[in-house]
Amino acid sequence: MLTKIYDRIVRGWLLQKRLFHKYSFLLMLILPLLFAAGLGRLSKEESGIAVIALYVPEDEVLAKQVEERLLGRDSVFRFLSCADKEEALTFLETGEADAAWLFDEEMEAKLHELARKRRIRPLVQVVERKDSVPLLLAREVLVAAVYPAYSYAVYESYVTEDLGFAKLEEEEIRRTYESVSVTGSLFQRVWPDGSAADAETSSYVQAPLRGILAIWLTFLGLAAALFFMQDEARGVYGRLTGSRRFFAFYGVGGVFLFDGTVVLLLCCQFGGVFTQFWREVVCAAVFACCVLAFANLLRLLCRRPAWLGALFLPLGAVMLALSPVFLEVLNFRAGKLLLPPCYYLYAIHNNSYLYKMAVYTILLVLVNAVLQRIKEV
Amino acid sequence: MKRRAAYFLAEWKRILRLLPLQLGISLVVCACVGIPAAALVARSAGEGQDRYRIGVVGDISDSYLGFGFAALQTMDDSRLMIELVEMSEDEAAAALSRGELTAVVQVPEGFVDSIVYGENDIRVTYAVSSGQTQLSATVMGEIADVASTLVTASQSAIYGMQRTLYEQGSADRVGPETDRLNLMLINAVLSRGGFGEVEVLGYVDGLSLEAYYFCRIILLLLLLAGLTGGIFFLGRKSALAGMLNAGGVGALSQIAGEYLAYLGFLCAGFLLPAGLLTFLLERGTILLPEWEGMGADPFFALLSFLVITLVMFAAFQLFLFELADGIVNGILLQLICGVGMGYLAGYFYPSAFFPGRLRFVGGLLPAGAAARFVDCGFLMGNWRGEAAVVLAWTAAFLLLAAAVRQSRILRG
Repeated sequence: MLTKIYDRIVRGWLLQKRLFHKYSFLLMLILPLLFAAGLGRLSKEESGIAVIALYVPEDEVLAKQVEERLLGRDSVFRFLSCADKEEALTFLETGEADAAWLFDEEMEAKLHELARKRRIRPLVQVVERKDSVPLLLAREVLVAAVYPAYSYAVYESYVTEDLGFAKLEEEEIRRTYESVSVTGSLFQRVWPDGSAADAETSSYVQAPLRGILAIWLTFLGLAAALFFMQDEARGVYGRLTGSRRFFAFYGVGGVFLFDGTVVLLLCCQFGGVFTQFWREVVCAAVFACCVLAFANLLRLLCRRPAWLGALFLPLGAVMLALSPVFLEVLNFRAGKLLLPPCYYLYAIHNNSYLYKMAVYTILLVLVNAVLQRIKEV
Repeated sequence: MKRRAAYFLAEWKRILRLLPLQLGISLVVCACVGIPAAALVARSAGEGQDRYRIGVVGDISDSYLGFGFAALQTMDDSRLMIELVEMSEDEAAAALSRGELTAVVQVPEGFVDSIVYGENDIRVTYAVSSGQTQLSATVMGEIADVASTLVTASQSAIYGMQRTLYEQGSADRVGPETDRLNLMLINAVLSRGGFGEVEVLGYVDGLSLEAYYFCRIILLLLLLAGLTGGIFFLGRKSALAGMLNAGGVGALSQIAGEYLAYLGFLCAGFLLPAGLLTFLLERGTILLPEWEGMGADPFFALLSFLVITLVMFAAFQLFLFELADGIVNGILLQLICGVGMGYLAGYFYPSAFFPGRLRFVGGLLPAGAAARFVDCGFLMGNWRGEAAVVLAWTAAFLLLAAAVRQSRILRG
């Protein structure tokens, strides 16, 4: 028994040496690492789904406070401070900005006047290149930056005028307000399994990295199948009977996917999307097994290397479209559940998908065994 | 010369043998991607702006919460952007899992009381469907921040007013005054859009979102065509290059012969998707704002730009296969380079969403050059400079492939 295990380890090591002997295999392992590290580094820079040019009058204290609030927050929008209106509009005309927010020259006075009359009137001129969902959301962000000042002004005028405490000093009114002021968020983001998501700091720029790597690992499994088929054609496995050859594929594919899984984990770490050590390791290990069984199924179905090779482009396109890598496509649920990357991407924050992935892997292995049996008969 | 021509002809014979398989692949790709993509583009063009669909779970029978929910659905500006759907926890979990919802918001018991009494110790949780921080999740975070600010700023004003009444010895007025101020602030929140005076210039110098993705999906498929290109290089013996060289067909001639044949192979594969797109555009199934009412005529003009792009991508893919020295590694290099470059060049998310340096890097890559070139073709802009860049990349890849082949021949 021990001799057999040792023998398999030696065979695995020999195959590993054969793979590492080709510099292009090493290049293929290094490229994802470079991509992940580069993306992780560059994604830290300022980015946004829309760029907004801000013009704030020099002497307008309230507008300056609103601008600071906008610039100081972690946002999906990118703000550009402009010295004057013309500069903001030039950004807009040249396409460097999607919208320009031009604050009123007498914003503070107007806001107090509006609060006293309990009215809402424009305090900011919003100029947009064209209407879009991101800019609708941006307007809400603008309102959220202006509203605290407005609600304070309403409170202040309510206390002095409506309640009749006109003699109260401005400082006292503010002190009372600040003593009961409510801060903090009312919302908490969680993953579908209920665990808190606030700890994760990756941005949407880094997010597709895991998905790209998942598709890459699936292709690594398919490449292992192609590699095995080419060796079969050369007669490398001529001495092995059908069922032993079936298990030999798991050995060969296992070596490919071991390298790939290590690279995947390192890429997640370098790219800044790594979560918890054991969760990552377990998910990646089950995913690698799933890919191995999936690749074996396609190998058994295709029979010829050219047919398997012909599947790559449609399969790649389907995986990119249906897996939640860049966006989530509604519907096509049945199609999604056939693709290993989908399970992996959901499983990272949802244990039920980890179990589903394990069950899917077992099913694939069973189907493979049946196909192998049919092939032998 | 005669031997070079013979090699060239041999490559073309190989292409003819592979042609049925290549057309079959094109058919499958069209079925797998083209039709759903066309449906998505058509739906997006037909409906205008898509809304985020959010499931609301929990007891919202409380009068405050019920009013808030109804106000959001009927009076609030956010109804243009968000669709709220009340459902049970199980229904919401299933819909989220099916990808029918952008997020599920869970309102815990006692949430309203916690706000009314200023404790704010119970938080509304929202779960996004994906296992990643995708764009939709980031947007949800932004919406939650906005909502939170509106509520807490209103709360602060009300508590401030209440505290003032207590301090001034008018505790008996707290109830009615709270109601009054509450109503004022709710009114303000509902008409908050009025803080901005919106002017939409309606610029049409860039591509519309539909046209942008129409071009990018085609470019991505052309870029990834190298995955199928693997069958062209299957069974190629490494010793053949040396033998041909000895017979007078040098590295550059070998690469040129293979490149032209490979380009023909890719062009043949592109025929079917191009035909399908022409048909869908002519029928009006794919609606692009820029080409409205023009049928497929503008697409014919764009085809020449796409073929020139294919000329560059074919050279790039050939170089990768040459570099990889083996079909297995070649395919994997095609995938990682294709998807990676495509991502950086804005084939998935608009490149405007990326940080400046990432955009710069994406623009330098062949995929970025191809995108700019095709955009110029789409907008009938000045394409000569971009064409020069595309052709320069083509020449560079062919020379590099020849250099790799030469070094392989020399190494034996």
